[in-house]
Amino acid sequence: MPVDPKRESWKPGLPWEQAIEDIAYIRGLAEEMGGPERIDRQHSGGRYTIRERIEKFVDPGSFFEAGPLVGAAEYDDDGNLREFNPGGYVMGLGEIDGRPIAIGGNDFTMSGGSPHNVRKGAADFAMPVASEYGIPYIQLMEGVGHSARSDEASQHMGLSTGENYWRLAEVMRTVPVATGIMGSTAGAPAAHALMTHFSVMVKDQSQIFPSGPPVVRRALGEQLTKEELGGAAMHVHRSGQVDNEAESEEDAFDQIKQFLSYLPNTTNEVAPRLVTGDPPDRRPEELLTIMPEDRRAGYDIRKLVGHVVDNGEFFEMRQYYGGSIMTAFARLDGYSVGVLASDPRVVGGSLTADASDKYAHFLDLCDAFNLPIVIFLDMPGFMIGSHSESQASMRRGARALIASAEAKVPKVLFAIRKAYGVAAGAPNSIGVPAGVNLRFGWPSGEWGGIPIEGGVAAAYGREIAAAADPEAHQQAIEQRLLKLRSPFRSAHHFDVTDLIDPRDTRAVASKFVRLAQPALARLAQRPKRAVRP
Amino acid sequence: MQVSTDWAGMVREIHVAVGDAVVPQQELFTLESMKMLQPIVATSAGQITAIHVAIDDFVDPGAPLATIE
Repeated sequence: MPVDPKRESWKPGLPWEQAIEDIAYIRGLAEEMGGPERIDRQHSGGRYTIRERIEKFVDPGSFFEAGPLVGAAEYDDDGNLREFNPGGYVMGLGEIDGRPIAIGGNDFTMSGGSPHNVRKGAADFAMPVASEYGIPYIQLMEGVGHSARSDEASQHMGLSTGENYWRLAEVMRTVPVATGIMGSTAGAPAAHALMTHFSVMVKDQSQIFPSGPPVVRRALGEQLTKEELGGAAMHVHRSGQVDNEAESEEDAFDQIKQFLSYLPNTTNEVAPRLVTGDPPDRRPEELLTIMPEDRRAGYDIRKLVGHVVDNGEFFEMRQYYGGSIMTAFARLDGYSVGVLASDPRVVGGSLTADASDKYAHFLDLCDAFNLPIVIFLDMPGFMIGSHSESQASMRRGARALIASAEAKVPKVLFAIRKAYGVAAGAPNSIGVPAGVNLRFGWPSGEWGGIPIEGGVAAAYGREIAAAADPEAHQQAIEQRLLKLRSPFRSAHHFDVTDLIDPRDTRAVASKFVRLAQPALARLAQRPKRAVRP
Repeated sequence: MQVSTDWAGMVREIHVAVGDAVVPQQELFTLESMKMLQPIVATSAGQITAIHVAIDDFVDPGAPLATIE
């Protein structure tokens, strides 16, 4: 940045007042970032600069910057500063509603081949301060990663150890990490962006990939725009690589704040209880009629969850991926919970390969942050058919089963309609064999190893084929077995803790979530691993 | 514009005919998948120029059900 060519810099021996003036002067240079032209380019693309992002994200006036003087500084022979280029990363401490956080992000006005080799990144402050002091870490990413220009500057091409990813794995092991992908993000910044517990990208503004269109064109001959290659349509709606999409930068900030609000400061703590003002014994009348008479018809699972949780508020993650399972954070009686719910409007709520991954990841996340799980189960089984087979539905389903077996946090399960086969065994098995299997059935509940339709044809095939009227015989057997589907039959066998009036769902869930708190505090002391995204 | 399904299933009901004008979110087909009925809706406005399936047909994910122009 242009430095006043006549300005005399402070030197050892000169008065402290001048040194203090110099601190402010160089900070001022740093705030100019890549200069007015680069800032204008950022703004004309509809994007904020990293300094504006941080200012908008944190509570007003709460940003405390780390390393504002870091940059490529050139001094003349008399010891006067003649040139200063700030490091391409801005970071520090801030607060969200008074809660301390560490925050950092790439300065896109400085990237794309800044000519100097000054080391300034999250590893220098934001990541270690977050994991050491136990505060959430937020990264706002927009950067292209390694530049061939820097190889020319350093006159060599380095062989990376990859050790900088160790630091992020350590941060993920200890504290919540949330990422806003704010623009085009490639290479190392892209990898950092995805080493997170929550990621959000801005629609029509953000893209993420190992390498962008020019590199793809050179390597494969595939001609795509960056939006086609790595925009939200690809990564939120199709690949599931990024959790959520935002309408604007402000919406992305808001989603990150909502996500963090449900989590404790570290994996060794329990999320704070908030006063929500919603009575835990509230009886939502809507739950009595939400289940359709026709068992083949769907219903709005988001409405159902909304009726149960505090003030109808929840924060959903990965809504557009593996849609037959809904994953969300919510509160009951003010306590944070993870919600796993079937969506009967997406392949009938069956467990697809993608939904299995989503289930396993979310359960691991809740287990790492000591959140109890509330489940609304309406699952006809694994998704079947050749397309589903081609996606390794059962191997990936095994991940859901293993995540369920390993989860230590308590659950409360509501078997609201179907629960069939191995797939339903995932949520059913959380907590067993070590603990109580808290399952409550609704009168609409039906479950078993295999549904009667299909199950009879498979098990009674020979008998049906030998009958004088096979179709009538099959129907007769189905009618005989239909009686067994009543949830009262299995309630008599203690398969559920109780059958309940659906309107009591909230009160029952709240009771056990409250009861779980001392157990969660003990579970918080377990050693943890970084949850793999 | 092709209308397709994300998941495999059987066509149980066809609610439109060639020549019909449709609006976004209008239910065009009812698909049965995993013994559950799922609406297949129009994603854009236009006129139905072709219907590629019949009642009880099995459809694969991505297979065209109708064309809207």
